Amino acid sequence: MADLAETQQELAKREKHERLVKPSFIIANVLFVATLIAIAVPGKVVPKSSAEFYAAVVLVECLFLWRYLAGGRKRSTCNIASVMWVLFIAWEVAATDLKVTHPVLVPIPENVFAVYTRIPDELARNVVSSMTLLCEGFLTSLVIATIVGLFVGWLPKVRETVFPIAKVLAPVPAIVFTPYLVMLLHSFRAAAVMVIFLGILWPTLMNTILRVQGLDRRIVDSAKMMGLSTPTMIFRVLLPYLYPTIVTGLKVQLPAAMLMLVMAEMYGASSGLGYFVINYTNYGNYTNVVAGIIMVGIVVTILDCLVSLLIRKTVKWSE
Amino acid sequence: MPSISFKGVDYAYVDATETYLALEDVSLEIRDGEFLCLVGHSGCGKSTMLNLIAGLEHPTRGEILIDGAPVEGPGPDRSIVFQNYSLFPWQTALKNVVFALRQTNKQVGKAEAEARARELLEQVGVADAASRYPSQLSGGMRQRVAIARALAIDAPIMLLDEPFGALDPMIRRRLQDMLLQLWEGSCCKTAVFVTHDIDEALILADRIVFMEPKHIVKTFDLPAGRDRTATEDDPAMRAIKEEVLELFEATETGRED
Repeated sequence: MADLAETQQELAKREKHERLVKPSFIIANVLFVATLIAIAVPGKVVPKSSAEFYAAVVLVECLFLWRYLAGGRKRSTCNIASVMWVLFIAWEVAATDLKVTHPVLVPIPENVFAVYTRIPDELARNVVSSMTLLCEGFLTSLVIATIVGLFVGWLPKVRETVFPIAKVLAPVPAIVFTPYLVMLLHSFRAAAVMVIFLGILWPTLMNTILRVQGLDRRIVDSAKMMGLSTPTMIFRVLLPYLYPTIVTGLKVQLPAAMLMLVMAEMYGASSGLGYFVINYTNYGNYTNVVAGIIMVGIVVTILDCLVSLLIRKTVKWSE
Repeated sequence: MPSISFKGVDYAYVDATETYLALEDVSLEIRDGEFLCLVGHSGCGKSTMLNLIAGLEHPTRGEILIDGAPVEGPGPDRSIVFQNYSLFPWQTALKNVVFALRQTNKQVGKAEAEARARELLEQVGVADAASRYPSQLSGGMRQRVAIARALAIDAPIMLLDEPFGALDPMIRRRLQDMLLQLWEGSCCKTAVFVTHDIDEALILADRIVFMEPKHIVKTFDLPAGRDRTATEDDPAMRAIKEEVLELFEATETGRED
């Protein structure tokens, strides 16, 4: 026994030196293998195909290994992976192996992941539909809010009128407009774009106004001393100054817009991710519902990663 | 060669509810090619004087003439260096200088502007910081770049608003020497330098103008061609310093802006 304890201590020491293989890494991988075993064990429910679930698990493991080898914060990466495996195992054991959960309300993971190969075209169509609406509403809103915010922030008299209005309107959840907008605009599509537009407009406008107002007077004075023309002032001074605010704002506003869109789609759409989820909920097809919810999570995560990448690649300065 | 004259200038600004008079009937002639230091307590209106020459503020009464023509607004015939934060934080040191060069002189090509900007950064001793952003530079380096930018504008009048105010004494001393060297190298520019540091004024100035709130109290002509590195040893300079210090004692602090 004493020998064993000693060897363990030594091992622990060596691991600390090596740094690559941490206990948390081992735990995560043990849990990965456990997940595979849980899927392989024949349970009370026999799924038609387990291949998709295996594929998903392997994909998650690949992502984890990539993050682990490429990024910093290795311990957190391992912990996140471990949490995922525990959830997967719990789901698999409860729903498939032991069948202790409700057979209809809690679909088995094998079937949920099989949705992605069973109806990939339907899912893709809905993702594209959602993304189109998101881009239309979001981009118009961003462009208009930036242009208006720039002028309002620059002119103190206009600012004193517009800012309080924006401040009152900004916290009104745009989603409450949805039913009314559908009636008003006669088309769900226009209403959804409008909801996103309104939801993003006021906060972005407020941010832009505050930011322009906060521009150091010395910087403006220096620019004035160079005798800059108005276009130069806008494109070479104000917009470069605003750019980081705009893109870091995306980090908050893109998920917010996605939330509004999915909710709007659940209200009256005939396509989109929100529609996919609400439609199958109405039909009681919870397998597709869970697959749809996971899909929304994946889409939001990808958008967030793209924004982070954009920030990392293009925002080089700070104040 | 430009001369600047203040003719009976009043400047008042409205602060929340009350109107505050910062300058009252100020008249002053700044000669061609002169290095003039405005000295006084903070809030005495010396920065206001500078902003008026810059055209960033307008007098409520009287007028400011540059070579006989009234100042209408800011323009590239005057360059300005502030205490801090006036560089564009989204441009590297080099880009800041290049931008100033090209905006004030449209004929200069990109490559030429860049070569000239590197030369200027070299002159002020920050050549190796060319590709860094202002936030990555120390206060002293930032002010060197700001001076390079002001030189890039190549204006006949240079306005400096406590440019070394936020720096520690060692670096301050070094930058004063550098400024003097640049000054002597590029003859015939007119400079107005605001400071509350009497030693700084004694080193740099041809003439010192002492201000109390709203008014000019006294001007001191400093001997030309003196040894600027040894102001302490010169009895004439010591006398001026003592008199200015007495004035500092005698006048009140004005209102901070």
